[in-house]
Formats: sequence, structure tokens, C-alpha cells
Amino acid sequence: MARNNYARGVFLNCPFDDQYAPLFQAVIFAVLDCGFRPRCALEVDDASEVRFEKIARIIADCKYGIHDISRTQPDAATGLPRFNMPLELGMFLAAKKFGTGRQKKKVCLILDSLPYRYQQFMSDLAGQDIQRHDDDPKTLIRVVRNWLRTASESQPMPGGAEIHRRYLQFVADLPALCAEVRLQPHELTFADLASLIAEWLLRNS
Amino acid sequence: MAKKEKNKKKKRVILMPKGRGKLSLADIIRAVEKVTALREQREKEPTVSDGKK
Repeated sequence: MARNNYARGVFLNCPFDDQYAPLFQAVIFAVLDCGFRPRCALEVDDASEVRFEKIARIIADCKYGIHDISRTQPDAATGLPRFNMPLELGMFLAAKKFGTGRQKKKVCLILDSLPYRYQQFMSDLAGQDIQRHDDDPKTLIRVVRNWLRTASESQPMPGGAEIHRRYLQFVADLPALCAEVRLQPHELTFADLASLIAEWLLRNS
Repeated sequence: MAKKEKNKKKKRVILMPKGRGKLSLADIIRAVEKVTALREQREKEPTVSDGKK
């Protein structure tokens, strides 16, 4: 069972800000619709566990990783850029490089909003295949789907256009779903949103 | 050929996420059932008026 969890686990290393929310929603949707389980630092709310340890544990539990390094602009509040995403990408790559056993089989997708831009701020990644999403949920869904299809080989999954069609339907249903559970969309935790998507897919596929 | 048959039989799965949120699974299932049923009902209703009051 644990082995299967690892082979279906996808670590999401993405921005958690409001501006990125539609893309974050799209990537969670695509991962679930492709038959995988999205994991991220937001899934646990345990103050007794050090954040770094929590992230390391989730990374160790996931064969796959999706890393969006597009958030390069300074934080509005501090005027400084956020470095958590490059740090977590480094942890994932280090687990693959220096880990043993199944950690060596890790596969990751690195995303940016524009092509080749990463060469200006993370030039050590040169030679890796970085994909672009143009800040567009449809493009992001297609890229994630195609990558999971290639990386997992035998997994049957719908095409990108079909996943996007379902995603739009889910987004249209989301206000009513939130009204039913008496929450605003922005009040949904990662676990709530992912569970809503999973149940919605089970009922609507 | 045998491999082809095996692939054909593979079913797509949706895995439940990990982690605990504010909502119970029962609440989520109930909400999804209700919203989906309402939408399906709306989609079945004729979109063009038949002219009758």
C-alpha cells in the first residue's frame, strides 16, 4: 500500500497566493483527474511538526514533483522575493541525487510562466527541460497531463482538452458547492478543495 | 495481444487526497451530489420557450 502511495504521490511546489489560485486549482484538478494524489505542505496543520521536516517527509513520500518557479517578483508586503519554491525544488532534486532505493526514481516537472526566463535567475537548471504555462490554466492542465502520461507510462488518463472541459465545469459548480458547505471559496483548505474535486470527479466522470 | 487486453481492462481511478480540512467527507459527498443533480436537472430543461405561459 505504501509503495502504491509513493508511485501515485505528486508533490506540489507552487505559490499559494491569491493570484496563483486558479492555476493551483487547475493543477490539483489535473493531478486528481489523471489518477494521482496531490500532496503539499498545506495538507498538514500540525504545529508540533517543524515545517521543513513536514516538507521533507512529503517529498520522501512522492515519486513525482511539480515545481512552479514562476513567482520571481518581490513580495508586495516585504519587497523581497520568496525563496521557498527554489528551496523545495532543491530538496526534491537532492532526494533524487543523494537518496537511495525508490528516491532515485523520482521524476519532476519544472514550470515557469515564460520560456527560457529561468536562465536569467536559475541558470544552474540549464539543460533541464523546463515547461511553460503562460499563466493559463488550460496550458497548465495540458502540460501536467502530458507529463504524467509520459512519466507514468501505463496509466490510462483523459486528454488535456477533456480534463480542461471538466475543470471549467467544476469551477462553474464551485460557488454552489461552497454555498452547500457554508464556506467561501477562499476559506477552503487544501484538503477541502482537493476532496471536493475528488468527489466531484467521482460523480461527474 | 494479451498486454492489449490487460490495458483495456485497466480502470481509471480517482484517489482521495490526504490531510484533514474543515469539512467532513459526508458534507462533501452531500454537497457534490446535490449540486450535480441540480445542474443535470437544469441541463435537461428545454432552453427554448415553447410559447406557452
